[in-house]
Amino acid sequence: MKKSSARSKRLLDHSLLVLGATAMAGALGAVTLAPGVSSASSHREAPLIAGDPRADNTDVYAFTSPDKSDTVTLVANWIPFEEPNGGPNFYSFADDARYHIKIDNDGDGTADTTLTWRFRTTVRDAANQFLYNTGPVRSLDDPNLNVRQSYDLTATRNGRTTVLARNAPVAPSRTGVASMPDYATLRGQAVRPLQVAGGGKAFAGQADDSFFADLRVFDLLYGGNLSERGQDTLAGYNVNSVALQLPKKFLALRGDTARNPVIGVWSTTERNGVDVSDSRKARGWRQVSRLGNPLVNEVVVPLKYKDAFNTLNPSQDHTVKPVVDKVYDPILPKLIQKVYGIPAPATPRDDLAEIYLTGICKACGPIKADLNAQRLNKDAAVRRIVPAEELRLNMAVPPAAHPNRLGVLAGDLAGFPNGRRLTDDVLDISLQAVEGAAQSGTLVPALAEGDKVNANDVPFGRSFPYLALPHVKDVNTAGSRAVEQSSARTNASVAFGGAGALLLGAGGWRLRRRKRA
Amino acid sequence: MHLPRSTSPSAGSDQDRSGRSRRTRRTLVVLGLGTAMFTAGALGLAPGPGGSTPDGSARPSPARAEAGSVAALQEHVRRLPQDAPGWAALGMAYVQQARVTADPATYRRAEQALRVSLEREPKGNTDAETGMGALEAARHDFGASLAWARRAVSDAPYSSLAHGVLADAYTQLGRYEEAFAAVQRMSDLKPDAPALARASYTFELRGDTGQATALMERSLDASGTPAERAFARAHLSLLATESGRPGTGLRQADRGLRELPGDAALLEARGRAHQGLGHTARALDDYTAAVAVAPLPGRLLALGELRESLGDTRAARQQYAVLRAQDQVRRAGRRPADVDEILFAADHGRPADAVALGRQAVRARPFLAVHDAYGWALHRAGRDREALAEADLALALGTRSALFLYHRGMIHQALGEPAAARADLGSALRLDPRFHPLHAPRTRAALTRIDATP
Repeated sequence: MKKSSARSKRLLDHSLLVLGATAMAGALGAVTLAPGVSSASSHREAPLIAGDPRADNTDVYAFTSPDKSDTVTLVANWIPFEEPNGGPNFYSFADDARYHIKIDNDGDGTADTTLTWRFRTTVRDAANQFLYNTGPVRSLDDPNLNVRQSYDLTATRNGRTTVLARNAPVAPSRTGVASMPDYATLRGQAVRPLQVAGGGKAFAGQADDSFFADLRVFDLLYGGNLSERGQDTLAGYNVNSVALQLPKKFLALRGDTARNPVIGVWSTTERNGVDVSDSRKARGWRQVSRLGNPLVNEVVVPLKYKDAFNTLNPSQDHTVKPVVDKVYDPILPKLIQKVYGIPAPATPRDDLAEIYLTGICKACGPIKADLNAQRLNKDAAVRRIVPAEELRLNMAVPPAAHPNRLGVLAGDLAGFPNGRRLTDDVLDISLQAVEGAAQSGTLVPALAEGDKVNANDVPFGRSFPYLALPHVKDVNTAGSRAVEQSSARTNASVAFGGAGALLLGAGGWRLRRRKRA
Repeated sequence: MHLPRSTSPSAGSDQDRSGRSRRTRRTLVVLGLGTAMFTAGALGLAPGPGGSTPDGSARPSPARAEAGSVAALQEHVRRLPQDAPGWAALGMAYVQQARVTADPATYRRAEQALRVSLEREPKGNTDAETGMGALEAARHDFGASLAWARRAVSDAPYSSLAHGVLADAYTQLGRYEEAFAAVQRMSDLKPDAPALARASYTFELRGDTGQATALMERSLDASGTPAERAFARAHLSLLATESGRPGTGLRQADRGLRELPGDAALLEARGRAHQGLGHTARALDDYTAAVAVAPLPGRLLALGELRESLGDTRAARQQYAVLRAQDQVRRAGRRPADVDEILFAADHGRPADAVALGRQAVRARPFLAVHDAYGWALHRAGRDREALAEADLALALGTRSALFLYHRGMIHQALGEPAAARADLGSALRLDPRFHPLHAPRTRAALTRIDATP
C-alpha cells in the first residue's frame, strides 16, 4: 500500500513534467478532474461476465423416499450461494426460463419423461414493488407478501404433455425471523399434491443448500494441495429448490418397476433464443445448463468442455470425443499421484465410464455388480443404449435403515452412485471412485479423510421435501470463513469460458457447480 | 507484484520492442497521472451546488459488487498462484470493474493478471484470451481485441463469452455483418443477459428501436447482477429518450437508480431524460453527479454544452478546460481520439485539429459513430464534400440518431442541397425535438432559413 502510493506520487511528478504546468493548473482548477486514458463514452461496453444464477443448476438428487418406499423423490437446485438476510435480496426462479428434470428409461440418452417448471412472478402492490413483504407474513396468501411466485408443472412423454400442477405457490425467500415468524408453516403450505395416478407431491422454494463439501479439495486442480480442508464451503447458504415425490410406477419404463427399475436423471435450464435478423421470429429454446452427476466437471469432464457439455443432450455425449476420452483418462488421479504419490489407477478407466456414462452392471464393465445400468431394464433395447452422462437410480433397491454417507462404496446400495441422497458425501465418494475404489472394492486409505466434511451443516427433514429450512443468518459476518466463501461465490460470478488444458478451472466452487459462465 | 513480460499476439522486432518500452514508460507516466487525477476527481469533489447525491441517500459505490469479486479472486490467486484460470478470472473481473469505474489503473491491473495467466498457460488459454480481447476493446484497440477474440473462439468454439468479445470488436471495426453473425452465435450458445444486450444493440444500430427495446427488456429480465440490471435500465432509458419519449426514459432511469443508487451511467441517462423534458436544473444535477463519479469525455461535454446553452459560459468553460486537459493526457498516451473528443474539438476547438483527430480515429476504428464525428469535423473545417461521404457512412445501417441526422442535414445545407437538408433536419427533430441543447435550436433555425429561402 505504502509502496504503491509512493509510486503514484513519483509518477505524478513525472506527469507534471510531461504535461506542463499550465495544463495541470487548468485541470486542477476545474470543477472535476480528468480520468486520463479511460474512454468508455461512445463505445458500448455491454456486460460480458454473465451472472445467470437463476439458470444455474447446482445439484440433482434422486432417491427412494425413505418414509414412502413406493415413491422416488427428485430434487434439483438452482441459484448457488444465496446469502440469507442479504436484503433486499430475495431470490426468484426466472419467469423467462424453463426448468426441467429429465428421465431416461431406455439408456439412449434421450428423455422419455420431461418434467417442466414454468414460473410466474406477481407483485401485489406494484407501487411498492421493491418491498418483498410489507409486514409479517404468516401464510402464503398473506397480503403482506408483496412479491410472490407460482408455477405450472407439466410432464411430457411421447410428445404428449399433461399438467401435474397448475398455479402452485412457491415458498418465499425467508427474509427474516421478524417478517416470517413461522417459516416452517409457509414451507408446509408450499407442498402441493400432484395430479398423478397414485398421488404425488411437489415443492418449490427456498431451502438450505443441501450440498456439503470443502471445495478447497480441488485446489489440487489449480496447483494447490490438500492442506486446507474441513470447512463446509456451502454452510449457511441457501438455494432455490424444486422437489417432487412421484410413484415409482410413474417413472418406470412401461410403468413396470419389476421389469424396468432403472431410471437415468438429469436437470437442465433453457432460455429462449433470439434471431438477430428479426427478433420476432422464434428461434426456439436453448439449453444453457445441465447437471446429472455431482462434481462431473471436476472429476471427469474437463472444464474446457464445460460450455459444450452444457449445451449437449446426454445422447450426444459420446459424439464429443474429448469428453468421453477424459472419463477414461481423467486428470485428477494423476495430480493426486504427483502430489501424494498415490499411484493413479491404470487407464482406460472402464470403471469410471460405468459410474458416469452407462450405469453399473456386470455386462457393462469391470465393476462386479448389477446395480443401476439401463441395460438391466428388461424392456430396454441393448442396441440403442449409448454412453451418456446421467445420474442413475435403481428404484428396486430398498431405502437403507441406516444410510452410510459413503453409499455404495461402503456397501449401502441405496446411495450414490446409485441415485443420490441428500446425506451422501459425494465429494469423498467421488475422490475414492476416481482413485479406483469402485473397481477394487476397497477404499484408498490415504484419502480416507476426504475433504473432512462428512455431513450437512444442518440436519435434513424426515419427510418430503426433506430439505432443511433456509438459513437466516448472514454468512459473511461469520468471520474467517468469509474470504473463502466469498472467493467461491466470486468465482460463481466471474468464471467464464473454457478453462485451460491442464487445469480444470478457476475456483473451487466451480468444481461442483459446473457452469457458471 | 512482480510480473513477467509475456508475448503479445504480434511479437515485434527488437527495435519495435525498445520503441514499445519507451512508449510503455510514457504510458505509465500518463496512466499514473490519470489515476491521480481520477482519484482526486472521485474522492475530492462533492457534486456541484444543488447537485446533491441523487435521491438524497448515502451513495454506495456502484462498483461494490465487482470490487468484492476482485478481492476474493485476489485471495484465490494468492493461495493458488499457479492457477492460470484464476488469474484470467481476476483479469476479467478488473476489466469489468473498469467498465463501471472508468479508472485507467484498473486496466493495468487487468493486463498484469491476464499476462500472468498466459505465462502460466500459454496455449489454449481461452479465459485469458477472452479477457485480453475484452481489455483491448475497453482500451479501444479493436484490432488487437479482434485478434484475441479470434484466438479465443478458435480455442473454444462453444464459449458464448468469446463470441461476445468477437462481436464487440467487429462492431467497432465497422464489420457489421460479421458482428451480427457473432451475436447470433453468442445468443444461440447462451441467450443470457449479455447476449440479449448485444442482440438489442444490433437492432438499435439498424434503427429498429422497437426490437432493440424489447430485447433490452429481455436482457433486464435475464440479468443476474445489479450491474447488469443497471446497464439494461440505462439503455432502456436512452432508447426511450432518444426516440422522443423522455418520460419513459426518466421512469427507466429512476427505477434503475432505486436499485443501484449512484450508478454513473444511470445518472447520465436520467440527466439526458430531464434534458429531453426541459428540466434543465435536474439535468444539470444528474450530469454533475455522473461526472463526479467518472468524468468521461461524453459526460463532460454534455454538461458543458448544457451549461453553455443556458448562457452560463463561465461554468461551461470549466468543463471544456477539463476536456482539453484530458486531451493532453490522451495525446501523451498516443491513443486515438474518441467520438466525443473529436466533436469537442470540432465545436469548441479548432476544426482543423478535429479533422486530424477524426482521420486518425476513423482509420483505427471505422465505426459509424466515428464516421459521424469525422464527418462533422470535416464540415466544420469547410470540407463538405468529404464530410457528406462520412455522414452517409454513419447512417448507412439506418441508425435512428437525431445527432447524426442533424450533422448530415447541416452538411447538405452547406453543399447547397436544401431538400436533402430539410429531410434530415426534419427527421432529427421528429425523432427527438430536444436531442441536443445547442444543436436542436440550430436545427430549427436552419429549417426556418431553408423554408424562408425561395
